[in-house]
Amino acid sequence: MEETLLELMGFQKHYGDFHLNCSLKVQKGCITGLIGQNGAGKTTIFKSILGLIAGDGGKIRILGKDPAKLTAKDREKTGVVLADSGFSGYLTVSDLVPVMKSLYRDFDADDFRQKCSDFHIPENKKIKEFSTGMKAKLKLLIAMSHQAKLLILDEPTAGLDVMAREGLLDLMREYMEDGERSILISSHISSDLENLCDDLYMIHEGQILLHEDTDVLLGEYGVLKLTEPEFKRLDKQYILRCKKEDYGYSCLTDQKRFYMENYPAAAMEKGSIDQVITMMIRGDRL
Amino acid sequence: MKGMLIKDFKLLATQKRTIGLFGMIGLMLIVTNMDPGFVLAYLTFLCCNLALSTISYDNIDNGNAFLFTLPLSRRGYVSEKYLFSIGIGTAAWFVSGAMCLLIGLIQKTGMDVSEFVVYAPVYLLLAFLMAAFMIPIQLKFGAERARTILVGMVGGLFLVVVLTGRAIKKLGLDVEKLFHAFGGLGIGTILFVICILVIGLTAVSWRISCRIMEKKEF
Repeated sequence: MEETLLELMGFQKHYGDFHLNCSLKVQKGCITGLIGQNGAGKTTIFKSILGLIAGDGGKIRILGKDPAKLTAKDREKTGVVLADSGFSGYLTVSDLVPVMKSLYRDFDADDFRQKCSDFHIPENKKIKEFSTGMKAKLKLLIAMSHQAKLLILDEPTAGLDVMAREGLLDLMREYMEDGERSILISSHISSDLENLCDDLYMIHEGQILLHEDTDVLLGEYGVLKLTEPEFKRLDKQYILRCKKEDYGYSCLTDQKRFYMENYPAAAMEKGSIDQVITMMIRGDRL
Repeated sequence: MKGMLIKDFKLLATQKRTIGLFGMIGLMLIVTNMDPGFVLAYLTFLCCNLALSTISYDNIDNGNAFLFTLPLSRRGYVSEKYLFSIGIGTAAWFVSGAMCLLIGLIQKTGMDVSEFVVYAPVYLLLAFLMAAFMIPIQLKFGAERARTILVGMVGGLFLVVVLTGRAIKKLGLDVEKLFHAFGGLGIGTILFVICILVIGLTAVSWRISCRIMEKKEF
């Protein structure tokens, strides 16, 4: 049986007009992605998982426990990147080493220093003087520095250029090599998650719109481009959403092959994450 | 907690120029024959305040949110703040006390050493009391609003003192007699009573701070 390191069961949080209602699982050995627009509820989910905010309903189990009941020892098994928070900008990397050493028994100071050097992160410069990219790299290196079983990464690649993003994604892949660790990562850059995650959750206005294995999403999902008469004749049992266009209709399906075999004349586009999100949000249910 | 203590020491080290400046001013005051009790209180309170400023450092850029994802309980965080401010206050008290004594003895200013030694612990206890008063306010409202609240509270305290004075007058109570009664207790007993009072108030303050942090969302 697969081991679940993190689970949200009908978790709810309400802020005025915003209502979050979310169920989600992160299995051992998997990278699970959470993708959605700004304000969709990603950060609220992360903060709830980490016990930084209390929920209004449902349950969260992280490493088998309620977040509020996590002990210091349990927290050593998690590594965290928060988009809008980190160690004080008045500290330097050299200052952080003894702090991390005292907080985490498995903190590897030499490896951390080496990785900081590999990523050109200065040891004796105040963090507040770092570039956005340097800050993002440092946050991730800190999260990965103490052999955590579960990494919880909220927008770790935000504000980075393509090369820097690739570097960090490679680090995450390397981190997952032993098969015992898991990552929950959020981003609004779909290409990052497309190439990294085993499964993806799409969130919009506090609701999970879709959960799918990345391979299935990229292999089985497609968008049909149809004229009005073609749309009328279409067998719609595998159509998830459709949208009126100037030329007729675009239809999202999770059974691309069925339509390719039965409607060879219809134009079929490969389902990229961006396309699937757009269709799930803007399209109509049949 | 050890990790947080190291972090706060590192943060304090970023203010080494300010600490140096305080030391220089203190030294000048001692050399110019300022009341050693004032110098001792001045340096102890200032350093205790500097230690409390680490709470605002933690608040900057929503830093608290990240701190509470580390292997550290909210109670542990609160306890560390008390320990750190009391520790720094005590260290400053020792250093400035030793400075006052040493320079007083070298300069032969006629300083009453026994009186200084007897009253010195009161300044330390008052610094502890200030920390116990300020920590929950800073945790609840943040450094900026805490300052405004403090000004309001000092005004309120002044009002209470004035009103109490008037009430005593109106009731015809003999305050002098009361002070004489305290004087009869002996300095040791009075110090002991103040000590117990400060410990009790610090414990209440710690409990309030824990409740504030346990309820706080980031």
